[in-house]
Amino acid sequence: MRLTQILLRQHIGKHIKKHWRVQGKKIPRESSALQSLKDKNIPIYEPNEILEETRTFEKVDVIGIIPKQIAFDSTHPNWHSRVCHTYKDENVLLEGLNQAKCLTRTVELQQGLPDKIIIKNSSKELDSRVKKIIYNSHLFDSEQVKLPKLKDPERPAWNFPRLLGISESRRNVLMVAKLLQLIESLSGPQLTKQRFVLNDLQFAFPFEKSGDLIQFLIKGDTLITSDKPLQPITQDAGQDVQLPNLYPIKDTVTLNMENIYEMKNVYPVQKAISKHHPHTVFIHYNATEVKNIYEEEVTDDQILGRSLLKTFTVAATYAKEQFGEDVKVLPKPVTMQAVQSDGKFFHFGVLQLNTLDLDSEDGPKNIWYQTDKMSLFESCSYVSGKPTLVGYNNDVIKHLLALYDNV
Amino acid sequence: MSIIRLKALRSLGPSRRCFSVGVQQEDEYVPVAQYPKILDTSYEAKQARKKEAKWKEIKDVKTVEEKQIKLNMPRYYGFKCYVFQEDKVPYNNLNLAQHITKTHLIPTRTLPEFYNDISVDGHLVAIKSQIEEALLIEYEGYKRNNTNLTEKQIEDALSSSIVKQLNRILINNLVEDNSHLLDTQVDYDARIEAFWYAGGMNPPLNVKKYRTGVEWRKHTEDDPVDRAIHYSGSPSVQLRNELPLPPIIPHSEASNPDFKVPFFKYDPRTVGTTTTHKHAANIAGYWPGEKYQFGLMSYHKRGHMLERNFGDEADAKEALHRQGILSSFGWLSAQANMLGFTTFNEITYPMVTQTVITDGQKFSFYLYQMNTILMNGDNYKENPLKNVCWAIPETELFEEIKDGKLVGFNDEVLKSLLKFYKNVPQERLGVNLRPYLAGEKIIANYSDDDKRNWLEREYKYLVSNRPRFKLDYEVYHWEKIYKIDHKTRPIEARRRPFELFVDPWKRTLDDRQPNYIPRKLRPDLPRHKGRYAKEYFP
Repeated sequence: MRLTQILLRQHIGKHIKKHWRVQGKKIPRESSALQSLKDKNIPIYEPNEILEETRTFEKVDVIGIIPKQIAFDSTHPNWHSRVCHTYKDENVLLEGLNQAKCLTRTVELQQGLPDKIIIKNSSKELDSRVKKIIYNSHLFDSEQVKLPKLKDPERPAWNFPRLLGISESRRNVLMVAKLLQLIESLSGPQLTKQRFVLNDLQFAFPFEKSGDLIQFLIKGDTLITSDKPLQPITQDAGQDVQLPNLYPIKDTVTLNMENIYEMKNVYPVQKAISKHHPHTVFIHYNATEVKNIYEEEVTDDQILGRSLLKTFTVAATYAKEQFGEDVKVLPKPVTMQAVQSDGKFFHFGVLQLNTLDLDSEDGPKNIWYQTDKMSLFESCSYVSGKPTLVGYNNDVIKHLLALYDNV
Repeated sequence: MSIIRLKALRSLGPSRRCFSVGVQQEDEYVPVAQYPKILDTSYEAKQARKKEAKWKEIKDVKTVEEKQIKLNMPRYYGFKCYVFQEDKVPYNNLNLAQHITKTHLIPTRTLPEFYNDISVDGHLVAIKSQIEEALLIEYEGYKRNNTNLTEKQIEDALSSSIVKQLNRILINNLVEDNSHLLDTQVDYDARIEAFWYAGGMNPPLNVKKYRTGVEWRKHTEDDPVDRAIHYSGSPSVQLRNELPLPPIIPHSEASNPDFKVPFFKYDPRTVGTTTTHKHAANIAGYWPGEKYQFGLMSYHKRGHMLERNFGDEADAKEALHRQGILSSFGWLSAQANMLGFTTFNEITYPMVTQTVITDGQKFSFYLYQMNTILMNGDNYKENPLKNVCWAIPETELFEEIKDGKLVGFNDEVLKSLLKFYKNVPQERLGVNLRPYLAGEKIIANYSDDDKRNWLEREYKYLVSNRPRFKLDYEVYHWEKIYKIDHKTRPIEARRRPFELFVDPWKRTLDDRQPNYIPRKLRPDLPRHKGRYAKEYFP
């Protein structure tokens, strides 16, 4: 047996540690000096009061030093103890369209778009131009960026080679911009003169509903504004139609619960401009960004709900800007059109906003018209090295033309 | 008789037979002896002949994509490129830009005579009011989301949204009378890349060093060396059409001796250019197969001017000229590559583009006529053709915005813009626009599925310039110290490239193992056959 084992049989390491800990905090022993000085009225100072230099430091701006980032916790200037339910670009609602209807107090009176919007036939020439636009935005654009990772649910650990190509967001931007340019070129200067096209606008609509604080914070990717507001569609305020029943869930389910927020109505286009009335909002749908908070795939119904919620936000912020912060039932309904697209599918909707009193039991409701989700084409890709477009559907361009021409 | 002797007799055969027949052909004799041309067997001449043969090979390739792959064949890890970016302009860069693009710069106050025939007065009034309104909206009419953006990014965002408005208004108003605008594709933030060789500049030190190291090459020590140039840029808006714009001056005029190009003899790194390894990529904003291949005009941002703090006004002007020249030439030469020309195969007709650099208020106009893309080797002095660039210096569209109104709107700027839009692209009569493309012209037309797939994958892989899966070669620091500078490990096996005297950068594109085909997927062949997929290098 080795000597060390015997020597270390009594392990005194922890005793030494303890000793250091105890001795490290020296407790001064009470002496009677303090008391006797006090008795003789001799002033007593703490040593630091005399020795320590008292100096206030001025803050100096040093170039190149990055200021400390604001922490997103209770020290944040916009922190509130009351929770706000927010809806943002990347969110979808659990119950999709029905939940959106409950949140915005909206009902559907009929299937399809209002009869006022007349869908005309498209010419062969127009179709060929649209096909060129599809080729151009989906295949022939030369952007090469990393695309989202491919995953196979059957074998989740398998790493596919990373693909490079046109990003989803760019495809959306190109499709909408090019289709819009084509439509405007065909509509003639008399009509286009009355319209204006704005990109990347931020809208915010805060409100309270059943004691919950809710705020919609959304982006209008492209907004067509016009010099006159769109005419209302119907006199029927939907009083006979019931809102969908979501029981047992609450209508704020799957909204983000946040403490850091700023409640402010934002309609970004200024009132002083003649063309500030919203006409049509184009909403981009980006499959990698828009997600459920649980891992399920986004359903078609949720996409339709997204259209309604975003259109409502644009219309409601405009209505508040137009009729004042406290407006409840609007003196004149606000009508607004919406197109949601991921470059392949298109969803068209029209909203007539009658009221911003979203909490009341009865009274007018908002009216929503919509088409089904329609595909512009079945597929557009390189099929074994050949650019191929399959299943072009000209209904989409017909609807777009009809919406643009609507006044 | 042995076979060898028989062969020897046969080789004498024909001449004997000729004599034995005894017929004399009269045209066999000419009064003055004509000898075949004597081949110059010097090293330089042999190299030149080799190069010519290679360029001919590239010229004979049938499709656009294969030509681009062929350009890339010499280097697996890409060429050492001098990088020119549109929005990074170092100090004192104009002469270099002119030299590498062989551009004669004409600063002028008005557009060239060519534009006098285009009348714009009919549209001016109607468009002016709309543009004034659009500018007011863009500057003050709506809230932008500028959080976390630098000054440059804010200006670029403003400039590109103003440009989109201008483009929208101009096209919408002009399209009724100018049908070519309906057939025009508009690109937003397109990706432009161009690659070419420029010659005439002094050799870099390493080249000089190896030249002086070889006795018989010492006299070539100071001979100029070609530089691979890589340009990249991104116009906020660009317009393309199926037909090219008409030339501003005739092609024959391009060799006018009055056109002067400044000669820049130094290494581009002396004026702030950097180098990197890149594959040759020529991208004009679209892939081969697109019909709209000719550029009409492009709008560029100038936010980078805010970051220049040299305090030199003359240099600021030059920086804009540099951007105008490089962005015009870069786009045109990429277009030329899509039409089947390359940096070694000269264009057969001039190409024109119109470039606008703007921040929304200040407008600089450039007109560029590309007459030549041959810049390599001795072409800087031997090729008489020169490219021409007309530059209209910075002018303001309006002076300021006061109380919600535009003050001092400048009609001339708008007129120039209108003239650019009304410049109608035309068919070039009697000119083959794609003389060096034959047969299939693009790979999508090949009937062989496997070949088409392979070429498509390979082409997009190359021009994406993504890093190779295996990282490229480097000499590690410890190797430099213990193996190269101090030979402290003499007994170790010599396996690294610098010990075997090979240059890993000279690895060619096809110097690699083809894809392995698993046995399961192979046709019924003997075990050792059909292991590797077929490759289709041009």
